[in-house]
Amino acid sequence: MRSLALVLLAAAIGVPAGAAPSAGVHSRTFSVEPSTAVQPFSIACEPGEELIGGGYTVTTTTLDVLSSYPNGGGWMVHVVNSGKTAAFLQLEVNCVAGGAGKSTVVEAKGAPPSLAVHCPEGTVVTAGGYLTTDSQQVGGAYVRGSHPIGDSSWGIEAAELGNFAAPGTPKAAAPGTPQLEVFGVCLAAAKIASADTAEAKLPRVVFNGTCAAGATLASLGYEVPDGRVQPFYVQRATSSLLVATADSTASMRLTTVCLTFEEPVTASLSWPLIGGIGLLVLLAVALAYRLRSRRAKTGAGIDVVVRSEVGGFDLDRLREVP
Amino acid sequence: MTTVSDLLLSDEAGFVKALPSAAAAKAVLQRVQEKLHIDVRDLLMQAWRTRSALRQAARETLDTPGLVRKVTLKTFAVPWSHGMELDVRLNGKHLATVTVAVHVELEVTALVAVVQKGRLTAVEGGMYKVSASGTVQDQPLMTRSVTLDLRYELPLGDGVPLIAPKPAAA
Repeated sequence: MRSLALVLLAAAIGVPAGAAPSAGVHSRTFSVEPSTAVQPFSIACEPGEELIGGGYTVTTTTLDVLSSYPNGGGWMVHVVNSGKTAAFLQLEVNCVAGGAGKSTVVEAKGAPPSLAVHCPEGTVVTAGGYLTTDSQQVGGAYVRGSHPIGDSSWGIEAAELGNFAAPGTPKAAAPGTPQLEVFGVCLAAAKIASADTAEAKLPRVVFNGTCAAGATLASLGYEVPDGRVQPFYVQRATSSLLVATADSTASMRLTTVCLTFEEPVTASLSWPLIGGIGLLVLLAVALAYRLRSRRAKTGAGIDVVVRSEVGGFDLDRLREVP
Repeated sequence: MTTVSDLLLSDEAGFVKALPSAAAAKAVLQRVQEKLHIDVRDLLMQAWRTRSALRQAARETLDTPGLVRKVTLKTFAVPWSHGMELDVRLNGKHLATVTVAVHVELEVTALVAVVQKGRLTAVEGGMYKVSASGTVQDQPLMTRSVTLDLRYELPLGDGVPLIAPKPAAA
């Protein structure tokens, strides 16, 4: 009986239709007051949406973006406004609605010169980011590359800020001190349609990513393949990138991550199939009746009981630094 | 609102991998989700109430009416763990015993908080990072973390008590 039901189900709903998954960018503009303190800003996807990317644009170079990374179901940046007036920061988050897969964020801590994270099996990497600090004393780092590696990893390249400090300034943290975090956004039920790369020459790069018809742009990546470049200024929105430096004519490699989504299986009704579906409903009713009768005889299915619980705060490992 | 469950149990994959049947995995996941439906902000308040400079300040402001204390902390960090054993039964018959272990790291940096009348009344600065990891039958679950800006993410209202109220006398 179950086989027959499956055959009928396959016949009845074999054609996927309904609303296709759709991606959209939400943006919000913040006014950032001048301050020597690091200020965090974030933007989130709407309920029911899954994060696939994010980024920012700024209107002035006095707004220094130290970190740009996925956080929970949204995107976060940390900025310092070293100017004398308020500056605008536009945050973007790229989200997909109606897809079959969930997104998760993976992260890893480490130190320059490079770090990478890997998405779990069955997922692809859609975007990535990094978190660091501007303080040399605690091992701040300057990130000069943030890009996909294959279909399921995201990597960053960075240099210790101490390498660029004026003579006499204390150097960076002790070797091995975690100074950086790398993040990857991993999405299930999606495929990388393309991750094409383009080359561009510094000192100024303006790049707009595009995807083929039917694919969705998730994010952009950038890197300096030869590894020799002074700190540069980057602003990376979802689909556009601006890089500027006073230094050199080094080459940059830019990657556009394009996705296709698996659609949730939905029924498509057509008149010739209605008879089959009607029969299926009858079979389902009969099956439910039979299962109910059996359950009434034998019990209530799976049930889970908490046998014991233990836990709490580990106060021996509490750290409080005034 | 982010809960410990949101951080650790966002997908069934880890449970399905660790348990013999998908139905059992789903049932265990649902039960564990119920148990770990704990707002990570409540967990932090609970930690502060257990032992912290904020608790000490709250005590002082209760002892000295009118006193307002500003507490600054470079770092406050404490781990929280929770372990449970669950019996899975099918139609009343014992099927398996499942062990779930959860480990949460709470870390607040650059905290500036105002305490008066035993309550936390304002947060002028502070980033709260909470990371969760765990295992089901010794199989690791996916690790996730979230960072909250406490200036905006802590609902203070008229102030949040930092000293647990004493139980009423019988």
